Amino acid sequence: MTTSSSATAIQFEGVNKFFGRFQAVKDLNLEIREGEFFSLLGPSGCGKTTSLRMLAGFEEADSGCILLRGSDVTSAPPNKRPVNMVFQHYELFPHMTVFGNVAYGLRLKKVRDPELSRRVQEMLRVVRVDGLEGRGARQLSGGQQQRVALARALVNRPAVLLLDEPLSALDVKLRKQMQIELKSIQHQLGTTFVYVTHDQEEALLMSDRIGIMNQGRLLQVGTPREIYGRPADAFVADFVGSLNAFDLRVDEVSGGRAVMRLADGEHVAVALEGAVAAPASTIRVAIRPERIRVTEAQAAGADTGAPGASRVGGVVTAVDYVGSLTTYRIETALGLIAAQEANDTLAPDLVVGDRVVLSWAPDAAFVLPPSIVEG
Amino acid sequence: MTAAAASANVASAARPRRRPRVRNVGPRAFLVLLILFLFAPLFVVVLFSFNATASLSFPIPGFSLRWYDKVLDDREVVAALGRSAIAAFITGIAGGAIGILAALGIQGLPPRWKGAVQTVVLIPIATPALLLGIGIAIYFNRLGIKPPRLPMAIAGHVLLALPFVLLTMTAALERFRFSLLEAARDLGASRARAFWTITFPLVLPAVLGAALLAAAVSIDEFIIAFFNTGSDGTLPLVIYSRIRRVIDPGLNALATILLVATTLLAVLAARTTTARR
Repeated sequence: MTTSSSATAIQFEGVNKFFGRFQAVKDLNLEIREGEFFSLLGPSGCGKTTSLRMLAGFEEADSGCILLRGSDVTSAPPNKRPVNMVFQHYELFPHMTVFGNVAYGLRLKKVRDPELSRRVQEMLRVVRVDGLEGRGARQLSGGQQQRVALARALVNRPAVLLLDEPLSALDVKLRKQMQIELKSIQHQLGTTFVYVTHDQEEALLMSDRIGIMNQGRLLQVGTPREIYGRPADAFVADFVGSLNAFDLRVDEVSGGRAVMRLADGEHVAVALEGAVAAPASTIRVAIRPERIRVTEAQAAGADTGAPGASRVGGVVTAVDYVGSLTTYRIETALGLIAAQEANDTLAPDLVVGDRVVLSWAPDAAFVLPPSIVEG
Repeated sequence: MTAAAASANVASAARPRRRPRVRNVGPRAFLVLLILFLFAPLFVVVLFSFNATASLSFPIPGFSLRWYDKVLDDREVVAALGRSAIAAFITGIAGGAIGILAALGIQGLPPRWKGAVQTVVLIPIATPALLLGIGIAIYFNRLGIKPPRLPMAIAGHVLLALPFVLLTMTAALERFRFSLLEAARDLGASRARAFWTITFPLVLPAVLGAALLAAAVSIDEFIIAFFNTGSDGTLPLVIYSRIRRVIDPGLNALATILLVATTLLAVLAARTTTARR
């Protein structure tokens, strides 16, 4: 049931929103495609929830406009928009049964039995709470409330489903399960989902595309791979996943790479990918901890790496074991570097004080653009 | 204090009993004496309302319902009882309706106005009823409104009940999740529709409680009724006029009826407001 990916579901065009003097959303321009699972990701107060509430009609943009399937809904009241929302605290009607809650929107649209019952039951099956329709809304567990809230919104067949941190009230295990389930429900129904979250792992796991916001500004829009692999600025890089950042003194530029020479034939290289680096200048470079290989110094042998590969010596200063992974903190000429190794059979058995060699592939490190927003 | 004592009981019941509970004897004895002191006069009135003779001597010679019989045969009393019931009913309805509207209005005010308005509406509690009674009489007089005067007394009762009604309603609205209305609006409800399907059913118990409280305030109110009614007086006025003339044992029966009615209303009010949650 997937619609053609070229159709546009939502357009924000130059949207600004103020609360008093505080500007919550700054010149937001964004296109969300039909049938896509789109996440707005950012720290609290970044404007993501305000943007969602403008889509729902609970807040009105001070300037700019919002188009829903091509029609301007900037000032339409919430009951006149073909969107539905799943709230952070569910907001189930406590004086109604599960059936009453899910039927609420359909009854307002004058949908009558038997179609009413049929559609409610069908949606309760989709979210897997069929059998609970007679239960009062107060007698549900957190996970069940979550599912009923989802059914109550989806049963109206909205053009876009808005989700405002819907999983944040659930415990970790249930949250993980619901993430997978939400994604599969979205896939099954083909409805456009706009999902607000501050949890980067959640956004990476569930989304087709992610928009990252900070201080009211949209910093980057891209697939999870793009956002994680090539963050647009230092904020995005740091917010999504963990990161090592260090200054690289440009000793030579060759083959589209900036290289810094260190003692003992060691060197660090980074692909410039369009960035400008004059010899003898300094650029900011970043690398994800899991892209770094840690080898014991004796076992490392001579440098046989590919051209552009990097190699830095250091001393282990901390070992953080978390079951499937171990994070080593290593003091190097570049500063303190975190490196992550999967605890498989090949994992090195290192302790604090061991001398090691860090190495990484040519494309692992990237030039970190300065922050678009200060702070 | 009773609630504290009750919870202490619950706590000690859960634990294995090691020592006899003697340390609370002092406070408990005091509490019992206090309650006796407060309720003894009521008890005497109720007791004498069932007296078989007209003499107010103790112990009473025997029980009978003759005074109830006598009082309920008395046209003047029955008429006053009817007027009191009407006053209580209208005060209840008006109190409940004004209460929910005013509380909703206050709730929507910006915070700095909210506090000010909430204080202003509580003023009738601190105002002497004497002032209210005379003030209302003068006010309606100036407007040129003469008899029937029971409505004037009822207007005063509504005014007197308003602070209690608003306190009840404001407390109920504090617990009301206004975000539920966003959910309703999101699902396609207009403002009015959201109010009738979500707000109203959820605050209805509080509205009923507030209305019953207002009725209870009206039914035993004396001063405002005294200054604003005459031949169409309410029950407390009839009792008062009888006391002045002769000591009538029938008054004990009348007072007992009033007591039972007020208590019933207050208990009902407390039960409806706390029924949910």
